[in-house]
Amino acid sequence: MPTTTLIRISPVHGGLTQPVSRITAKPDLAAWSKLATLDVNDNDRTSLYRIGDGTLSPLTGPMVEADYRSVLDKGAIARGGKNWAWTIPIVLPVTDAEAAKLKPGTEVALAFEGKVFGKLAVQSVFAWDKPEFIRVVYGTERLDHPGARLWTSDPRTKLVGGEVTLASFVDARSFAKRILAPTETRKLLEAKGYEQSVAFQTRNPLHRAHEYALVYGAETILRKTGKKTGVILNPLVGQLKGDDVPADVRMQTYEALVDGKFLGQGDMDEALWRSKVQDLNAQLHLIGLDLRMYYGGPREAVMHAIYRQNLGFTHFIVGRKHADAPYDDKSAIWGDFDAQEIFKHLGGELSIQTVNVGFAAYFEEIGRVGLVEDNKGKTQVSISGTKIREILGQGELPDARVMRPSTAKVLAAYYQKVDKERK
Amino acid sequence: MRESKVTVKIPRPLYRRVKLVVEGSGFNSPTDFIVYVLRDLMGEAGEAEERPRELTQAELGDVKRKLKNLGYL
Repeated sequence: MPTTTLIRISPVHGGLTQPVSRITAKPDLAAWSKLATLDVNDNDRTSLYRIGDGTLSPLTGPMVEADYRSVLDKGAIARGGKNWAWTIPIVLPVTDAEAAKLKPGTEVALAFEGKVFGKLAVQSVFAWDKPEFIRVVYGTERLDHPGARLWTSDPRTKLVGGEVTLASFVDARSFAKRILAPTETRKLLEAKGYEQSVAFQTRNPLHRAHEYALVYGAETILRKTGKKTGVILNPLVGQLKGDDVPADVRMQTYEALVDGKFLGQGDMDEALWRSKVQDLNAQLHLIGLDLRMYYGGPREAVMHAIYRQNLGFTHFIVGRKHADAPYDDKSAIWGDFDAQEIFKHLGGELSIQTVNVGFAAYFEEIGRVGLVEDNKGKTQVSISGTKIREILGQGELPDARVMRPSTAKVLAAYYQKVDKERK
Repeated sequence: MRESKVTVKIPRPLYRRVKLVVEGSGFNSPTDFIVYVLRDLMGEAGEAEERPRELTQAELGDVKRKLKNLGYL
């Protein structure tokens, strides 16, 4: 019997029909080099390129003051007479001295480490009230947490907004081929004929319980609709805080998981996948997303969903403590469910749907990983992060019920190298 | 870095209204505000090539090659 496939790709955020495209294959570098130059840092450049490739659609440049205020005041940006959810301003900071030279209506060249890579048509130069920014974005006036330090450690005090035009980015990192822009992911979803797709955000190497969130999310929507489901492991590979595992090492762990077809092995609902004539690992794609972390909890969860909507995915997994980074005294900034609850109170439209998932663990009685809320009273197999780090540093592999050997081998090699260099 | 500027005349009552709008808005002057509004309008009307567009055949070929190299197609 013939079957009908209804490919579904999320609409671009902000009511656009195509992702924003501000990267030109034919940059006029000679002309740009004659403009006054604005040097940006690595974080800035990454955000600018995600604007350029449409991951931050409908933005066409760093936010002008009207958008900045709208995000802080309403949790949204206005486009085409509508409000669209947006929870963290995308800013380009400048020093007072730079701000004094930037005038709306002019253009400046954008440079990184002295090399021009784009231009900015300046539309807005305005003061940056950092305490307000931190209070609204992080929901706290305290500054003793990684999110606040991103901004308090930045000496720049003004913001510039406008429209960018960028030269193509040459990415020399080992995993560069895995980083896809919205035009590429959208083509992938179309070519594979996915009727729905679910993306999982991570900035860490995957423990088996962590990895289960993606399995759970995919199975939740598959069980509900039976539709052909794209499964997207979509780690952030942009700038992280110093104690996070570097992106190249993490990507090696993810590649080992994907290449070995280990995702969900022992933990997935095999009967479900068989009954829908689908294959979790055959429908799994590892796609890197080159964006920084804000360590912004609930508000960053919304941003993570916006990125994935622009990439075309229909569903996004939100765990408890999503994008969490506590105060330095280890106390929590946000409640366990805040990152899931925020989607019920958005300041504007958002098309992508969220799939909430709780904490997971391996349980002895069921012999696999499951959700803690479904297995109350059963025996969890767990090892502290400190202990796992110690085991890996010794070149040994932790209990496979906690971390798959394919992941552990990569991390053991990394930590042994780190420890050797420290001695 | 900047090209020279030109003077554009607008009715004084309109200028007075612009001044009122600009007060406390974050714009440094009526001129900044008018330039901003004009850029916004002109951006929509006159820069079609900078708006989102369909991929060219060559770009589409590049995308397909990249996905094929990843084993995704």
